[in-house]
Amino acid sequence: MMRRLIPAPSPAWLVLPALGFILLVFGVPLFHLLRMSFNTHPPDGIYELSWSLENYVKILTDPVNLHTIRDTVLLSLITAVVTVVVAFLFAHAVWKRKGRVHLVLLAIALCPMLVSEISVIIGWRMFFPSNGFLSYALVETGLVERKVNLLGTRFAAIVGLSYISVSYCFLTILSVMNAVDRDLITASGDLGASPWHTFFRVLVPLTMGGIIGAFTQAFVFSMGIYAAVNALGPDSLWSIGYEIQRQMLSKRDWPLASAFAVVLIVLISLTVIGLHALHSRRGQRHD
Amino acid sequence: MTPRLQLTQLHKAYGSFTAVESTDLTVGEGEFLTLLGPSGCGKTTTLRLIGGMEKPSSGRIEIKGKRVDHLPSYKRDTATVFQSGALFPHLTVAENMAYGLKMRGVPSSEIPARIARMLDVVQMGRFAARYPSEMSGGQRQRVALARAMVVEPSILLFDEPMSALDLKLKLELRSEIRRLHRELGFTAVFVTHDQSEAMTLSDRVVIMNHGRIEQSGSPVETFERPASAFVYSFLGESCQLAIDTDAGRDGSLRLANAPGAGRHLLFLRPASLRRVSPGEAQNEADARVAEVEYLGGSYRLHADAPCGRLSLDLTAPPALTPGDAVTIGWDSADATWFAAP
Repeated sequence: MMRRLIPAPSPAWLVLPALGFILLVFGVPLFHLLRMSFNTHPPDGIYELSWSLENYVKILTDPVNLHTIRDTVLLSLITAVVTVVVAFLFAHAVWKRKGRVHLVLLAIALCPMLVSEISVIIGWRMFFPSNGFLSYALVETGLVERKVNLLGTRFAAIVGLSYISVSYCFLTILSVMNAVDRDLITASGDLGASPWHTFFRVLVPLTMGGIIGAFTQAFVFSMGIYAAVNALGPDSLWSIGYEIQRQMLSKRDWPLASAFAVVLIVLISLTVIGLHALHSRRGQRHD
Repeated sequence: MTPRLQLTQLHKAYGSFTAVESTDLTVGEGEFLTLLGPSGCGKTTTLRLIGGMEKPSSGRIEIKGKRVDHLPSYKRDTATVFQSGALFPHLTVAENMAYGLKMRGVPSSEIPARIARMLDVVQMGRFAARYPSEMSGGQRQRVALARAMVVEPSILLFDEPMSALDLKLKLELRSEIRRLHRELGFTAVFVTHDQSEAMTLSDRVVIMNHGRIEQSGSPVETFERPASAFVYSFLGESCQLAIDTDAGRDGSLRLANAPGAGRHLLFLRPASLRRVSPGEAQNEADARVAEVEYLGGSYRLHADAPCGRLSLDLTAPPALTPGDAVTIGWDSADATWFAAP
């Protein structure tokens, strides 16, 4: 048998190029961001090198900033819940059907992916105001008497945010649902469970991985997006994303903007880690 | 007495394909009935129609005299043992078994005792807290059996429950099901394509082909008095000779009781054939050896007669090579004739 002159490299080495790429493209800017968040902001400039916690103190003690954080988290949580529910129901409808109907529904579900965030925002801005499509439709059908304006409401902001992430959530849930053995659904009915019980006691638990994955996706998306919230939501609703943009571009306070970004990243990471831990504790027995 | 299950003119078509054709069937109280047939014969569709997983195109299904064909699966008093077992992977064995009881509104105070009793019956008591992924295929199938039995359905349905198991487990589970039927006396409809399962388990075997019932009867009856050429060739090994009026005119086929005019099929079991010297048996065919196989313990001789191939088993090596002439004989009582289609 031939002997190898050079020992075969361990497969772990194969991830090196990807790891290097990630370190370069994400790691370096992230490190830079972290460093920037400890600098100070002089009145007549952008930043001054130092090692100060003053930005973090400002974020975590100023009631306006705390309000912004709370609003962003709350808005993202509500959006994530709404998105997951919509995506789940749609995925379920697609999963249950076969053939042409299945394909048509699948195509509809993926439509939001074809449109960029800016187009989505412009679209909804034409849909929600008092002289927009929704208002006319409601008046024409006699559901309301006078024109209504929903632009600039939290509702509009949630709709816009959901629309942006719903297709991704749908795909995540559908892929998990496709792995569910359909015999289990049949067996549930056979044992006497109504479709309602089967849905909540069999299908939902078995797709929990997908639900949590989709929830995480929608939450992370919503936390980071600022344009949709700003353009569709009320003026009183400041998201962290909007605040970062304002500090960076209007106020030229790069250190404070960086500190906000770090807070955002930490919040998202904690949520993702928390959800992941929750799922792996639930799932370790039967995966 | 009203039968436990009655199917009347049950019909199921998918577009232009007829899966079950105007079938009538009655299953008595405590009877173990097997639907046997090749794949695509309509046996599984019949089972799914009984269980309510499919809606019939027309016809009636009655359970204990009550019409159920309009009811969805969850409102019918049937329980199924699936081929895959279909145990819920997110629930333990005990939770899997409690599921059906809860859904059928059994008081929760009764549930633990019923589960424990049934797990003992299938000898799986130690596994109550296990998840399905922590058990072997055979154990899972026992639990699936227990899960279906614990709800005490009017009819227990089996959808090829052993086809995914290896031979040893299959035989084990087979005798287990036989024991359980003896002890608990449930009424069962069992679907299989495996005739030895059907023969050993059933009170009555129903042989299906192309969506129709070919024959219904006890295992002995169907095997020994098959009603059609299909049943004969489907059950057990058979040799088939196509015989027309001219056959044997050259003296190569000597039949004691040849049928009249027209084409006929003569069916014979390998076990009833023997190697003879010419003139020794009631019926004889001259043939040429095609092949000799060693089957482990015995030898199988395949020989081509003018009207078809005959196979028989020999205990000693026959010292024949392909092409050698042999004479094969049989008794008239062992011959079964059908008119050729």
